[in-house]
Amino acid sequence: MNDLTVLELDALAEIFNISVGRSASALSELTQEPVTMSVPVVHVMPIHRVIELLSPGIGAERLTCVSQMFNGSFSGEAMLMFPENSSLEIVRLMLGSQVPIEQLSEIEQDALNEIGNIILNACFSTIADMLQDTFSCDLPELTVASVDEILQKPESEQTVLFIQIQLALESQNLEGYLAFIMGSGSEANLQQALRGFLEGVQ
Amino acid sequence: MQLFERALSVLQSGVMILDEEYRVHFINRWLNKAFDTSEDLQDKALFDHYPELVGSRIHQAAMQALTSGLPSLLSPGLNRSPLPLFRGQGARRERFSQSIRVQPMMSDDKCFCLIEVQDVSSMVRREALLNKQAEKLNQMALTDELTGIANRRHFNMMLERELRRSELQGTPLSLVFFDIDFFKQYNDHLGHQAGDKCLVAVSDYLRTQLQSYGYQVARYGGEEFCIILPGQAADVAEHLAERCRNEIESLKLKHPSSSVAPVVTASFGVATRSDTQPETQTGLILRADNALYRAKLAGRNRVVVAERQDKELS
Repeated sequence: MNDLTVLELDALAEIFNISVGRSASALSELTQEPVTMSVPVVHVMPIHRVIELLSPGIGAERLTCVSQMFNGSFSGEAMLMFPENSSLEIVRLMLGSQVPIEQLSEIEQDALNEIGNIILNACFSTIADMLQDTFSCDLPELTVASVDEILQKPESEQTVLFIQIQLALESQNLEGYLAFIMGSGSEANLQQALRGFLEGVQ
Repeated sequence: MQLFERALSVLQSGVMILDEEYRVHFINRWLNKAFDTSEDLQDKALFDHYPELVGSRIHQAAMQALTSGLPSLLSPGLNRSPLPLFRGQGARRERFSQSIRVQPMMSDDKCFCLIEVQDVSSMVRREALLNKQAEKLNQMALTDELTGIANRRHFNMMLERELRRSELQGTPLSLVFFDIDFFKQYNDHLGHQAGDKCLVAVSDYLRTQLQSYGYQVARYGGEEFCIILPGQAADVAEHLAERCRNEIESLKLKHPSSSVAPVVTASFGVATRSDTQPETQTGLILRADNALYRAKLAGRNRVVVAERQDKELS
């Protein structure tokens, strides 16, 4: 797709900022802990670039990934990823476990799945509101694997909306990643929807 | 009744369909029974019937499904029992932990949401049990079975932690090693059970004494014990070792085969990591052990302090 303009990227960043703001409130209510989330930057890039970007920082550590397939005027796969250690920390803080955990038990996996679902749903409903669209999506699925395994898709040139998010929970700052992998044809539709949104704003 | 309807009616988990007004379009037998009411919930407005659920996570999930077409998951870890559902009869009736999925559905251009409920109480109970067992095993791995004090593994962990802290903070760290004089002969003469009792008596006594100072005593081996003194220099450690030596002698445990005294005594070695000199864990332990050995050579029932690390400069 043609590169998004600065305004279009800004609009996206704003949309995601609102989305994570909403999910932070939902998570705070759920866990009775103050949770804040922010979105520093939104990138648009092909998948292989995302893998290149993430690999040095993550190294051999695995990623915990909650993904939901989505369908609308643009379709694809939405993912929320945290380095495995961060997700252990998140679960420990939100479930109030006393014992330090090394592996995710079934209960903890379900909890992470729900956390991912809350954040991804907030993104979809905000995007739907702002861009006057509707989406349907599948129930969340949790995988724990390396960067390569999670992001290895048949088309490494597929465009990804890649967003770094900062999650602050009980004086801990954790970094996670949102990735919206767009199916072919979707990128053009997204760009069109963003243009429509910006025109509406003007 | 259609085969599908019959299947839903004998399903051992809950299925409920709400329409756009949150009215129960369908509810299967299992779920109807689980709700704490003798009424049939079919066609009832769910949130009028249960006003306490208004604004709750399940309400929000249903709303998201009906208005935005998005599915939700309510996990038992974060939502123990979102719906008022019960299992069991009479006195054993209890609200159970649930795993819930909410999915949007369309039919004839109308929006519905499907709520699927599972009873996960046994999973929750099993995990709580596993956690408790894991905690217990952790504890056991660090405890000496006979005396109940810290074992060598725990001691090594504590020493590593205190050594790191003393390096970071630039504070001294002292280590006291001691062992019971002629313990082998005690065992041979009075039997192993008596030997065990002697070890327990000594460690019990010291454990309570040292607790008030905030020091931990650990069992390093057969009749060998050790004490870590964080932030303390050699003089304080020597003083403490002397006190312990005295207290053990004052326990007056009869020791017929000791050539040092008629009662149980112990020999002590003290080593200190200075606040300026770096030292490894092994190095510090070796110096304390060496001092203990010299205490034995010098006649037992005494305290010997290891030489300062930087003594060769003086």
